[in-house]
Amino acid sequence: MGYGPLPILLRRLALVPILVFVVAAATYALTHVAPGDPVKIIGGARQVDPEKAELIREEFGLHGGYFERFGRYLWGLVSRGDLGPSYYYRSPQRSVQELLGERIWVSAQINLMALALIYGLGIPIGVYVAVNRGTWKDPAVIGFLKIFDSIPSPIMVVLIVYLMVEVLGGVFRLLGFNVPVVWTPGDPASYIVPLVALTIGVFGGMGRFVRVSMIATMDDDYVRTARAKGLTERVVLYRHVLRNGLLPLSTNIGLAFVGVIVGSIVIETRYAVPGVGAFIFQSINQRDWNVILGFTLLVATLIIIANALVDMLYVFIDPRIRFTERVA
Amino acid sequence: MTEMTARADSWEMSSAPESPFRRGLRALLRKRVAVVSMITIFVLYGAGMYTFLAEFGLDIGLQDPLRTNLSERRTVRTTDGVTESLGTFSERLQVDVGVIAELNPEVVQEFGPLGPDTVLPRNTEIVLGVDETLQPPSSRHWFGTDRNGRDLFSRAFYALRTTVIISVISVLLGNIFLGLGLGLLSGYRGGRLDALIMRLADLVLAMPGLVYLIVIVAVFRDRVTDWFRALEDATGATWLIASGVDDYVLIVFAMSLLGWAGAARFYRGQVLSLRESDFILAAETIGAGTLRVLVRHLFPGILPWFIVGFSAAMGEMAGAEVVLTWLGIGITPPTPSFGTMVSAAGGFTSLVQYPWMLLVPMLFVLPILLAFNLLGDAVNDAINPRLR
Repeated sequence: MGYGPLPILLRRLALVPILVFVVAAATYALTHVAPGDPVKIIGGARQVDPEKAELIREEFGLHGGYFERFGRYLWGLVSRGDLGPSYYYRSPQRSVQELLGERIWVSAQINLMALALIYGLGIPIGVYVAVNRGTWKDPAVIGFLKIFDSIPSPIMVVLIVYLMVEVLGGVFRLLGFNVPVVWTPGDPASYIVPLVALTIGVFGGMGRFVRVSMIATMDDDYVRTARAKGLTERVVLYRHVLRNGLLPLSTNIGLAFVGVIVGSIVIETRYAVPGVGAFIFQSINQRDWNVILGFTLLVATLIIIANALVDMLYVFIDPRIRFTERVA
Repeated sequence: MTEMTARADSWEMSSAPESPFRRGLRALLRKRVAVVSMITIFVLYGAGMYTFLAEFGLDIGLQDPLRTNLSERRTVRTTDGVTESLGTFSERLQVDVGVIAELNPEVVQEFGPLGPDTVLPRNTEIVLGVDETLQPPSSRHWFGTDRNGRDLFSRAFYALRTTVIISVISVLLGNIFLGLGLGLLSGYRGGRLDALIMRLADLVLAMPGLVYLIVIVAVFRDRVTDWFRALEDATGATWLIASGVDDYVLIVFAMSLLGWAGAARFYRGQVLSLRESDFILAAETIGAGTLRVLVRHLFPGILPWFIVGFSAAMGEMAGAEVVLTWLGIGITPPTPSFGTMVSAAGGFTSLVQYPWMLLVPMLFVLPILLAFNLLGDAVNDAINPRLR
């Protein structure tokens, strides 16, 4: 398929709605076989009398066969952007998009800051170890950072709180603020713990990733040429090696994005952050399947779009790549 | 001239050329990090396996991980006007007479040595258990005790066993059986099969992993427990649910279902680079079937990459158990696991008051995850000497 980048990009884009549809179907089927009759969850009783059950089915679009219901759900989503009503928040009746919308801002703020931090610190760390390869600094830095990658987040959050409150508390007080033990609305210092918890484990892997691609580039002929024509080491590194060495990172952005979203369920739950991650976990315990369905669809769509964008971006960043086949 | 002959001799001495695998292994063993990682894994996984000996009735020198040490007192009772003997008392409450004697020195002082035939005045209060909850590390409990007075040292050993079971089985099923199998097949056969498998993998990778893990576990938990109850009824093996086998099956199933995709894609990439090699062509020419080419020719070629993927997956699964259990959807207490230990340890206030509760599971989880992580890196470096 050597028809230049554009048709392939279009094909790639056309794949997005198909993938989203399949994910939707799979998730819908999964929530369909979930334990507990939705009518009983909504009705809040073991026995719901048939008339009331009929009313509930009507109101929540649960009447009719499986495909009819799924079709209705999809139609509501496509035509009105409606993710359906919540099973749990009933008085007043809330819709899934409202509930998610209220919470997504906090999560998005934290996740975007985390992403910026991961790239902002991860790249310099990778460059540093790549430059120092073969010395003790290289394995020491990576090994040290990987320690943080090896602490599961439920433990990590508590340790960070301990560090921020007990160990560094005095320093922060001097600077004029306190890091709260759990999330406190309206306190900007609340962001510190989830941010650190989200990012600290990633630097080791990120640093190693950058290091590997930098080192692979450092041995290239064009770098030797640059050195041979007398450029300073600094210019060679930052103008020549870095630009090419960071290319593989762009494939990673989509994955990093996913990691950051998923990582926040545990961290938000543990630190009582009022974001979507904690909310989704709560919803699973409340068997609020419409919320779970809506959220997974939202995230899956974001992931699929992010991956497609990254693939397309890549063609423009690196003209050597011609999409004969999707890069795996 | 003589020098040349000598050199020729030494050439002949080293007979067959070293295989890439042997060379890689030697490079790996030269790396201190890799060796230390492997030793760490062997020791910790060995400790987990060691607890299996208890299942064969051997005394492994560990306290029962489920035995609580709460304070407990009972009084001697009378039936039909007859005071019960210490023998019936100990039978009724299932305690050893020796233990009673040990725990009640003042009773021994008053009534002399206690035996099954000793009859104590009715309503004599007898201590059955000393309160040992939340004790800091001591010579009796090396790692302290938890809120139920359970010995954390032996709980940690049994938690290692849970980690061994979960990580080994889910890696065997998800990473090796599904991931490696489908990856090899997909990369080698190509065409429609490849497209189908890879689109499926795309799909799985597009799903937010942890969310789906939670959903799958939530959806199937009751069902799996029901199946096991039916199985217990049918076979009479009543230890299944009690020892947490249903939890293991559920978690392993969920993690394999989601974990194969990344592995399949990773291994497929390695196969693609080998598929066009002459030795594959040679094997095909002499009539080797798909399975034979995959197992005998392609697999050895990607073996080092397999170790990288395997090592990463083992660490991932061991860590995932902690996260899932902490969220309340993994191992059900009281089965010992690092996840149940972490959730029992509580939050910040508990960490300040009873730091050992959180630090003990971390003391084990951290080395396991770190060792797998660094081992994977070391193997990677050994395969790509250029990137060292």
